[in-house]
Amino acid sequence: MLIRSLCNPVRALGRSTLSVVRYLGRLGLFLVQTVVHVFLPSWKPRRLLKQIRFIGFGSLLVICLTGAFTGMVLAFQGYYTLSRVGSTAFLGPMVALSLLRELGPVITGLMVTGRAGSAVTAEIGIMRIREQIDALEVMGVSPFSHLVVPNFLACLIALPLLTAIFDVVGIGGGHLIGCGLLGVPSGTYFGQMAEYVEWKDVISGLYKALAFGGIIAWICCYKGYHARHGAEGVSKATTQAVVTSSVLILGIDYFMTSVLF
Amino acid sequence: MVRIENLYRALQGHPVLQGVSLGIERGQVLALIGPSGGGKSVLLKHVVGLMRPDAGHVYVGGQDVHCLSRRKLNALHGRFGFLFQNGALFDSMTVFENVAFPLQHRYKLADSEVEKRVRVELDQVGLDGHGHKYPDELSGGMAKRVALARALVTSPEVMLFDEPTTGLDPIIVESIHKLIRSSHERMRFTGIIVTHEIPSIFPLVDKVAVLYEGRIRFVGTARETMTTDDEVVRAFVDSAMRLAREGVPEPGAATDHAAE
Repeated sequence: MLIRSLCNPVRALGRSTLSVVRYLGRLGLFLVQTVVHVFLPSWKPRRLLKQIRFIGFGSLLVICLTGAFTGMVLAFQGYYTLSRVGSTAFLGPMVALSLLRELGPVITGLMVTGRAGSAVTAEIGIMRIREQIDALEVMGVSPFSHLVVPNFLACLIALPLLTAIFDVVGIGGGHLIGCGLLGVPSGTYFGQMAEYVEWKDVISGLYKALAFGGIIAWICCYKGYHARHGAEGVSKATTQAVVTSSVLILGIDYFMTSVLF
Repeated sequence: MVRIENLYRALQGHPVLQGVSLGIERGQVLALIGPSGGGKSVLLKHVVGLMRPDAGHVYVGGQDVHCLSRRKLNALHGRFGFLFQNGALFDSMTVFENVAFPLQHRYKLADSEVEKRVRVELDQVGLDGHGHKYPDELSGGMAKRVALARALVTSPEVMLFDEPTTGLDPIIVESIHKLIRSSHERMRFTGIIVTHEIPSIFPLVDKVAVLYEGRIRFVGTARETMTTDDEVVRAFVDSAMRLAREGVPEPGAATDHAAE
């Protein structure tokens, strides 16, 4: 009896470890299958364009708004900090580097996760519980080619573009506050930016955006594809997709920053 | 054409199929009946390869469905039509797009040919002129007919019906049964119909199989099913016939019967 009660926590630990390993294995296989299907000719370019329109074009407004406000806040905070050390001339590079290297890809990733990733999970999840994915399979149409690949490629294409737009609008927002309100000369703002910002900063930010696009599509499609137990299951899958993608974006951002810079 | 050999499957530790064996000849239609929750839909999904068995085999046209590569299974799926219990129509597509979907994605036909075949199929199920509607604008019977048109548009060799008439009124049930019969006369497919419509399904089918406690309890013609001595089959058929004749019993009727 005593041995049994001592073994119970060990058993529970073993069970949960196995379930985590199984989950990670399924997640990994899902990604492998997705990548394999990218190279098969069975997906339709028309569906890819539709998803680019939904994920990319549909997110433009929210990306422009968040980009502008992020740049404006950065200018305010940066000006306050820099003025304490008498270096307000560096406001331009500070805003640009913060946006290009970190905030641009991360906030864009989080915004797209909330706006489009959740919708992708819900759509695929509803198709799963209403047997529409089974119907695709019985028709001989691969659900990966029809549903997952277009979302995956659309995220890979849209995220870097949206990040670039976020960066440009953010730098514009910073200019509006720094130069229009706080009196930093426009020439200094852009001149110093040209001096200190390198192509590497721009490119590494776009690499991050590409990685985040892959993560969003991977997690959100996976969660939708494996949704179960009706409307509640789909709602749970959507929440899990948004939370997991967001945490992974922040975690991967840390690792990419330590490798890229 | 379809041969099921000693099929076993448990779901969440609960045995659902416990050695199912069944054969259906080419062009035959079989009604699969049995208590709700008995594994009839699960069996159908094993036939088409949507579920994998714990043990046993399903052969379609001589090919073991669960030993095929993904590519070969895809090719085999082109020979199937499946009418899902809830229709499984793509709700973001119109009726026309739903019926055209397998033709466009599988056979890559010219648009004019697709349009012609979809119009013919919608006409067959009496829905010509409804092609522009979305699934949520259709009644239950219309949605089932659209799903039937989508399943039949590729002229499948094997047609599986998962409770094609559940939740429909008797007039619609009769019309769906007529559609199944006329489509079988046109295409001569091999069919399995999972149903509770006893006895109205009997004129449509060549054989009846009863799935009970995870096994095939009985296989025979409709006439043999009506006259069998097997007490389980007898009780099931009798209660289904009584329900069809008298409708749903009043509350307390069940206890009255028990008291008798």
